[in-house]
Parts: sequence; C-alpha cells; structure tokens
Amino acid sequence: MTKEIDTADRTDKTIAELLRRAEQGDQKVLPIMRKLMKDFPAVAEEAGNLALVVKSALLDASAGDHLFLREAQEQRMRLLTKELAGPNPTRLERLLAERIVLCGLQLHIAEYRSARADSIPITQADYHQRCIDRAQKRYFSAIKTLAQIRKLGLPALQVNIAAEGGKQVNLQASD
Amino acid sequence: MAWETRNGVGRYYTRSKRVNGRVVREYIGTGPLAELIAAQDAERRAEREQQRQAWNAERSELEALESSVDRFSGALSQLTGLLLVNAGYYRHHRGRWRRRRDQGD
Repeated sequence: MTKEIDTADRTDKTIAELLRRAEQGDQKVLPIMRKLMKDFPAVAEEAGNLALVVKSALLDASAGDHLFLREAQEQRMRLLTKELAGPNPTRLERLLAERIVLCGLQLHIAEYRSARADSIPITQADYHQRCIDRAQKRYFSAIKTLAQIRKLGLPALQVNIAAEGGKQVNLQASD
Repeated sequence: MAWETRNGVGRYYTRSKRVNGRVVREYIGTGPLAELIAAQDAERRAEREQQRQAWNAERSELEALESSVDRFSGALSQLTGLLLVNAGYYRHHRGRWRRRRDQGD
C-alpha cells in the first residue's frame, strides 16, 4: 500500500518522495505534481535567492575583505554563467548554469585550501582530499544536468491561469 | 605538565606521558633549567592549541560552504525533476531521463 502524500507539505523530503513515485510511474501523484508546478515561478525564485546566498558565502571564503578580488571574481562568475546559459536561456537553464559556476568556485576553494595547507597531519590532508572529491563530483553532476536538459530539449514550462471572463492567460517559466 | 612538591619541600617540574597504555610521570628537574623547559613546554602547548582551533575553524567553514552548495544543488535537482516529470519524462531505475512513449515527440 502506498503512503498518502500531504499536498500542502512542500518540504524537501516530501518533494523527493513525490519525485521518486512519479519517476516510477505512479499516476496518483501526477495531480499533486501539477499543483506544485503552478508554483514553479515562486520555487524558482526561491532557488534563485538561495543561489545568491551561496554565492555570497563562497565569495566571502575565497576573497574575504579583498574588494578588488571579490569584484573580479563576481564579474568572472557573471560572464561564465551567461556563457554557460547560452542565448535565450530558460529560467531553469540559467539556474543550472549558475549551479555549475557555484560548484566550480567551491571546488576551487577546496583545492586552494588543500594546496595552502603545509605540513599538516595525515588526517587533515585526508579531510581536504575528501572535500575535493565531493566538490568534483558535485561539479561534474551539475555540468551533466545542464547538458542533459539541453539534450532533452525541455520546453519552457507554461502555466495556464483562468482569467476573468473565462479566458486563459499563459505564463512562461522561462523568465 | 606540573610542578610538584614533596612534603612541602622542593619544587620539581614533571611531565606525564603514556607508555604502553600506562601514564608515567617523568621528573625533569628543578631550578632555572626546569623553569626554562617548563616555559618551552607551555609555548608548544599554546601553539598546538592555536593550530587545533585554526583547524576547527577551517573545517567548520568548509563544512558550512559544502552544506549551502548542497542545499542549493538539492533544491535545483528537485526543481529539474519536477519539470521533467511534468513534461512527460521518467527515469528507468534512477538512470537516464527518458520520454514516455504515450507523450509523443
């Protein structure tokens, strides 16, 4: 017997469970998923805000109070994100490109911290290496996801909302 | 590390160390030389403590960064999954995303 899903619950765990069941072909979860997708712009907005927080934390760690370095890095990240997202990107493509850039910076920080650490005990060297391995895995996975989305040619999400007078208003999730 | 007195007489600098699982006290001595060795020991201890604190701070920072990137990555993976399922894709045994046959091309 399958467990019922609370439609009002939007926690990561519930969404993960929902996805797992949808991926397995559980038709029962589709109406809930469609309902969730109506909130796509808000969820994407939330992810965008989260990206800003992560970016700021990574810049703090890599440049600290060095304003020039920080500005240069931020500029480089902006250009790289734009380049990866390509012309006329959907909102998802922009976020995925941003994820690649953020994961790349985190990998760079992990590598730099490891290289900087001189004459450290083996346990600390091991910790740094595991940190680099995890960051690398995350980075490659981010690249793979964007490539996959491009390959699948996922259409920009369209949400139909009934306007006054029974007419439909189409909202695209591409921007 | 400690200074020890016997029956209120003398002041000996001692070190404790573990030998074959047992704590053994090593008597270093007394007088100015013992004072010097004690000062050097204290300096080494302070240095080790400083290194320990620096490592803890470094580790906390790296862990915080990793967890925030993970959170963002997780949220985005879910968003991607939702969009793909909504567009008629599925994953066979958590492998690659495929389009359902009944969705057409």
